Amino acid sequence: MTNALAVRDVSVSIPKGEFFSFLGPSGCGKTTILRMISGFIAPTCGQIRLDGKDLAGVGPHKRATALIFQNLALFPLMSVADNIAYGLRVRGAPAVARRRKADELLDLIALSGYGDKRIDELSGGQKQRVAIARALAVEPAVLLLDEPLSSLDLKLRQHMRAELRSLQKQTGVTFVYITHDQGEALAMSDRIAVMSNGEIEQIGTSTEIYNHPATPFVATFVGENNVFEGRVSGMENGMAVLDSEFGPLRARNPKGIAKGMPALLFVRPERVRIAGAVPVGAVNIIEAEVADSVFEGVSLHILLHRNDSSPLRVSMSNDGEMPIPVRGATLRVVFAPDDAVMLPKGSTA
Amino acid sequence: MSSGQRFGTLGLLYVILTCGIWMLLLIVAPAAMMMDFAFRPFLPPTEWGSAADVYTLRNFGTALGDEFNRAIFLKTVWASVVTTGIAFVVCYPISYILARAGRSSWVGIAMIALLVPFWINEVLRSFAWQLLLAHDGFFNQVLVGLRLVSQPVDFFSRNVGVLIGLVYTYILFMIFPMYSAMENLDQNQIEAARDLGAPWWRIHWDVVIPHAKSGLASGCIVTFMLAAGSYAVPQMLGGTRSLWFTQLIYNQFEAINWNMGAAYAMCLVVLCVAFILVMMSLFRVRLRDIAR
Repeated sequence: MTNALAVRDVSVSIPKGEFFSFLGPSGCGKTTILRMISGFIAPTCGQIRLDGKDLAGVGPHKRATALIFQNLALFPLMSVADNIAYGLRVRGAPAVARRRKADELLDLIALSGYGDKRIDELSGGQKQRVAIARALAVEPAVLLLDEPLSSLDLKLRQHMRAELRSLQKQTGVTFVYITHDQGEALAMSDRIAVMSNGEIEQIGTSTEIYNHPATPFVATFVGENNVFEGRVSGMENGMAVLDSEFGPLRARNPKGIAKGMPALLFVRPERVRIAGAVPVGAVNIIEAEVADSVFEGVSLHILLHRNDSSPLRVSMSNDGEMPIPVRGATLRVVFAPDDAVMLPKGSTA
Repeated sequence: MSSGQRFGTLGLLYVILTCGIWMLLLIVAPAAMMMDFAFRPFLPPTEWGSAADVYTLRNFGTALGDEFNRAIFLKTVWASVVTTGIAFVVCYPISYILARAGRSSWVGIAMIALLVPFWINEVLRSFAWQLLLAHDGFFNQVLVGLRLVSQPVDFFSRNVGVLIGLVYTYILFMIFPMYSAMENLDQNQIEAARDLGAPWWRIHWDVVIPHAKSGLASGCIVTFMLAAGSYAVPQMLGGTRSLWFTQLIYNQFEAINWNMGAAYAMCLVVLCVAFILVMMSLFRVRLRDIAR
């Protein structure tokens, strides 16, 4: 064990019944936060409060939190019902009450009649649901989920997202969800805390995080983003102007970066459009050579060649009319200054 | 892929021959001879095959019917059970801590520290205990020196020496099966039980022991069998009043009464088989689980 801080200066308040996610790359400290909330590790400083009460010194077996492990950690030698009712059994609940609770939860997770099955008879998604039922059985105030979907295949994962979300709404239990998958976080959460290197970069709703990233890390970690680097050359109609490799580019300046400062300009691929004839007075026009076109059915991604950085991505939905640009052709694209954001130069994902 | 395909017919033949010879020549045949001896009366060679040489249960009658023999047999049984019990209680926490410590470097050191004393012959180790437990040995000097006892304790006459010696001698056979069974238990299983509110003893009862039961059972079985079948330890650490059943067997063979010796030995074999069956039903494991 080194003495490096896994997490620092994290301050979050999660209202009752919220689906809250910690999103970040592996090693960003999100699992440490979860283990601190569940009581398996003690914070070196600061407080964790539940319903206003400090949890310091309260062991994991005495906390009103329930943890869902990444590998689920179901008990392989117990039946499905015994797994679900385990928390009640250690609390001394009689067999009848345990069975009733197990049946009730099996109903909730749509696995009625599976109580006597062995764990290894279940599919991945069913195990997932049993793990959730086992945690819900102890009626926790907070359910902590440590990337529980990461072991599932893509299709099941997407199905489980919706299921988790509806379970959370049905039960009203506060969910604290840990993930490195931004799609999961965006799809399920009421609010998201994006983390990097042990610190919270931004807390906000899915749309806030996606549309209004507060830091370069958030802008690049959540979703795709095109980055332009340069210095702020001035202000124009409330927009900052960046002196970039493609000339002046305009964008919102929420952080109020001063003229002459280095900055990064971000614009989402789906906000960049192909420009036909250049309208008079249009800004943020880029002309570049097509490096590649990727047709994905629903959408089309065009990669435009850039000299010193990764290609400029342009994404559009397939309207059935757009011809796929050929490699080597020159394409003119444009984006609105309102759709782009300028942020102080800092670390990106 | 079957082993026959991978190593060829020659490899298969080698395994069949070596295992077959070992099984037949060194296990089945001697056991059959023992059985034969055990059920025949002890006769001078001239009367072998005569009318008196018939199968009988008389030897067993003497082995267990005789009050002195029976007392020693039962003493051997309970002392071996106590040895197994002590070894279990001592080894369980050690195995658990070692298994949970994962890949820490001190685990390797601890393992070596456990193994090194066993590089020394069992007789020598028993002799070392003889010196430690002697009338004016280390333990008595400490106990008397601290005024915990007024007279030096006679460890040898009351089976205490034998028990200490047996526990010490066979402790590894308890630790290693336990350790290897506990080692592959997912740490998350323990944390999940804890998170659901289980106190530490429940975690052991509900999660650790069921997971490690085959290792626990085989540790107990091996320790019991070695203890019940031990000769050197009772010989060296037992006094004249604490005979072990193996010593009775030895005495019979030494007195050339192979028939009686074989009957005594059969009793010990049956005892061990019975113990295995009891442990298997106690831990609810099958034979193939233990063999792993």
